[in-house]
Amino acid sequence: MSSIMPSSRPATPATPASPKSFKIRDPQPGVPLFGCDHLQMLLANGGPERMNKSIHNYKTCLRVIFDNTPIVPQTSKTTKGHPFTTLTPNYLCLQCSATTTEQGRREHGAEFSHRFYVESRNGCLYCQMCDDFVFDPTLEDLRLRKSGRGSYTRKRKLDELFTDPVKEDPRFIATNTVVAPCRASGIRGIYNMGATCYMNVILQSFVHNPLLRNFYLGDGHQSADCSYKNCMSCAMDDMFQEFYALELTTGYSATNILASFWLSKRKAYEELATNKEQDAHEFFQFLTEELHEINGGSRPTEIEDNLVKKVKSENDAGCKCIVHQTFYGKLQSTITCQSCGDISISVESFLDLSLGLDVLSKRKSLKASGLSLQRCLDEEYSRPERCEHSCHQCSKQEAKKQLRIKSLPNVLCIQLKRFKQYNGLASKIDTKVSFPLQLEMFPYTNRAKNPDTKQSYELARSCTYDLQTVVVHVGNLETGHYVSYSRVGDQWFKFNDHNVTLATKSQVLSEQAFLLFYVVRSLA
Amino acid sequence: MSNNDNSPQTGIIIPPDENRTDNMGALAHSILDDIVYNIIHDLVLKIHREEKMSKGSTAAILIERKAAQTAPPYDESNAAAPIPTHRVEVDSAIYENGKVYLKENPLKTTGEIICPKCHLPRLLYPSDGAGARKPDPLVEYCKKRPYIEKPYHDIYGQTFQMEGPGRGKKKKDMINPLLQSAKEGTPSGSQDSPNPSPPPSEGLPKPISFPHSKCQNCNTFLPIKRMNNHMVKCIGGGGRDSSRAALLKIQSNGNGSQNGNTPPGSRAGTPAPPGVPNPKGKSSPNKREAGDDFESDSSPQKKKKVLKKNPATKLKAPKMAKSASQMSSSNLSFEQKAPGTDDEDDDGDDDNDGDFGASVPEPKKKAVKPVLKKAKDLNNIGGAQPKKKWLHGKGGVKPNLAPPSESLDSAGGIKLKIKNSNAAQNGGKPLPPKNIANGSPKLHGAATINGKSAPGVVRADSESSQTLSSPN
Repeated sequence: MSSIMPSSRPATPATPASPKSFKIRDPQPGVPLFGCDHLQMLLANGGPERMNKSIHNYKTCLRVIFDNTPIVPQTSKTTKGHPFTTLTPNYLCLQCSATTTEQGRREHGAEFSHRFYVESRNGCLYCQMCDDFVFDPTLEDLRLRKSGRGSYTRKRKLDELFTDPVKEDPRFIATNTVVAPCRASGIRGIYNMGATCYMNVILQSFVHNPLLRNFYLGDGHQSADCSYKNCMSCAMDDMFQEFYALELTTGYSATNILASFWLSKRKAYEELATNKEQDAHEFFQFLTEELHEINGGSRPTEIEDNLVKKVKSENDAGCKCIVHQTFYGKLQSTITCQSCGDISISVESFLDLSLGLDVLSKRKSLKASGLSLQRCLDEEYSRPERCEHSCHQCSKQEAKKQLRIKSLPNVLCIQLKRFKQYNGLASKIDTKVSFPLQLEMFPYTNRAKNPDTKQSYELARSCTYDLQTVVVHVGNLETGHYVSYSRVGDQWFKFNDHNVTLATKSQVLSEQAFLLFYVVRSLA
Repeated sequence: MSNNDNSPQTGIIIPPDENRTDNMGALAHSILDDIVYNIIHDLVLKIHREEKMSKGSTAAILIERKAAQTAPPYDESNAAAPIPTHRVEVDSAIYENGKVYLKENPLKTTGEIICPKCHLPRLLYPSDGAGARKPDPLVEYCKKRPYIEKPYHDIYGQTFQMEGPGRGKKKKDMINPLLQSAKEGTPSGSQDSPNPSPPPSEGLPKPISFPHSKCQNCNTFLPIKRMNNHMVKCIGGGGRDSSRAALLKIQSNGNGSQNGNTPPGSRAGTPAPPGVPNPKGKSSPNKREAGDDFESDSSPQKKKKVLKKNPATKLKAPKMAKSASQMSSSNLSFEQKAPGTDDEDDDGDDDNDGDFGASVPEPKKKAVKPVLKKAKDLNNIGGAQPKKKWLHGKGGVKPNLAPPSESLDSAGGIKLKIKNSNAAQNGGKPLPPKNIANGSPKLHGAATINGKSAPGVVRADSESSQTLSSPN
């Protein structure tokens, strides 16, 4: 990393005179208008033309950083004109097309009087006069949108689905809402009501699920308008209110959820409502089905005119309910006949991905090194497996089956099946499976087969998931306890029924996970 | 971060090694060095961003506040006239007509962080536990505070009443002097944790005890930890017991009694009891707390029952009583609570018995279960009409095989006995494990179980079942 002269960036086509004009973000109370006084000179004191050009350049820099292979922004030119690639951050000049290393930045500034640089790993703006990173409201907004969504303009799917333009009007918001107290952080324990820890961990995962939170806090289900008795969705609504609108710090008593749970007579889950310990995953399935039926489909027993009568639950794919929007993805299985090459494709939707550890832990390829979540997913969703299949064409039995994810959910739930049946005896598998804080799901999708480099960076970024909640089961099969870890911002918390404590990342990652909830990054 | 260029480039320190000439080794070190640098860079940048943005907005809030104070009065008569420029300048920022411009690096000019929501200063250090600093008592801080990291405390610095030892949890796992001492003061809930604890020292924060909560179905208040068990009685329908519960309902329709809860009507029907010996005070003060779902009826009603029920109880009381007396020698040891007298009358009631029966299987006492089953069978055989009901009770376990005559004659005396035994329990003596002399052992087992449903005992039972089954 010797001192380096600026080099011109490749792949920055200067689109001449883009007709688009940019705007400084409107002044908001409590937020300075610009990141620093120098940036103010650049953006405000040079007329609209300079401002437009600067913002346009910033966007171009972000595109270079986020839309291409990282080699491009990481490469600068040496004094002799040789390309020089480094792992540590480079700086992209905002005022010309040069890329410099950290040392070269100073010289570039001295030579050309260029004062603003974009850091090549995160796209943050560096002001050489402040000698510091600056965070300008206008530019930060662009950066966050680009790094999160991969696009400046594309809206989140959810925005369209669940927003009502009238309700977005700030005046409407001001008159119809109250500001939540600063203390209400959504971090509370839930009391154990007698072997209900399986319920508590799932409820905690719901409370910290950004989609469900926004849905319920955004009046997605108004308990005042709900005529259904003992409605689970109303109970959820109450719970979200309790968590996010009250200053209470003691545990929450989820009695109404418990009552709704007991009173909901769902055939498949009848066995679940007992005072015994239960499987958290089963409760998760129950809760999602229940909420789906309330929010999307029609209630089985109730014949009421629901204005939002959506597609009935027979066709899950078409359902627009909050549960489907949040948890459901699609799996595509491709069966290729080994003798005639006939392909049959079937698609099914999934609520969660289940990884059977009993089978996976026995595979040779996984035995050698420790099990990791990615390896398990590799086995299930990127390697073809042999299967029995009677082909329509040649009626041969041998075929290759390939499972791929066709569409990914916003919140990905992964279950590590830790229960094994052996000779009718069930036992728990205590194998440790490591899991990442950040999960790349792109390799397991059906688009990963023929990677198209042009798009794949953007695609891969939109398939990046962040760990949100980990549900852990301690104890054995007969009796045990569930605890969960959830992330709020960057801080992890351990939820042990009513008791909430701080947790470190290493503590979280070393746990023996049972359920993992990942939230797609482009959402946050 | 801002001083990156000035600080000497430090990297990972490679131990001096004679093999340093190895090219690949040097490359690996250099890559590792860069990666570690990147990790630190990104981390620092993230924190830096957070801090700088909140300081920037603090500066903005402060100057806006100042501007609001010095704002020129708005002249209504002169609305058409150009509004004079309102400009305020401080060290950190400039305010000009509603716009705020930063003047210098807010990290340098602004010391505190003000909450953008409530405009109160943020407390920057936790007030307790790791890294704690004493907050200035004269300053009102924003309520969003740093989370506390302290053993046996949660993130808000709260402590909770410990639960008693239960399955998978040993006494030694829960040694916590603070909580132990705190627990001693509180009468209910955790009596099964036997360790004598040191006297509570002064100034300790009081642990938060478990709350009571209203059942959504029947609107009674119960301790939160009983709620799930209560659901079995109150709602039922879940699990395998539902059919039994339904059957029970059908059968008991004649009585007007319902699954689990006896409506007051049925009780009103029973003639008033002649003087019921009531050796105890009405009910122990902590009755509510101790009260579990089995006695979910509100206490006023209960009192009524007491008075009216005795004749009715007489018929059935014998078994109860007997069992209770036997019970006294049984595994009562966990519970030393004063039994409310009223509860006894509850026991007399068929339906409630059903309830209790249901409760019985809860405690996952392996010893008890088989006995119960057998008892049931016996019951089947001998089943007198009223007993059948019990058979169908959710727990399904109300074996009362004692021949009616027997039970009849001994009724009164035995009742007293129960009370005595209860009193004894009150004294806090753990009772020796029982074994009953008369009748077949199975029967006795059943009987004892019955006995359990006697008030004090029931509590014990539920208490124990609670802790046992609590998955904590």
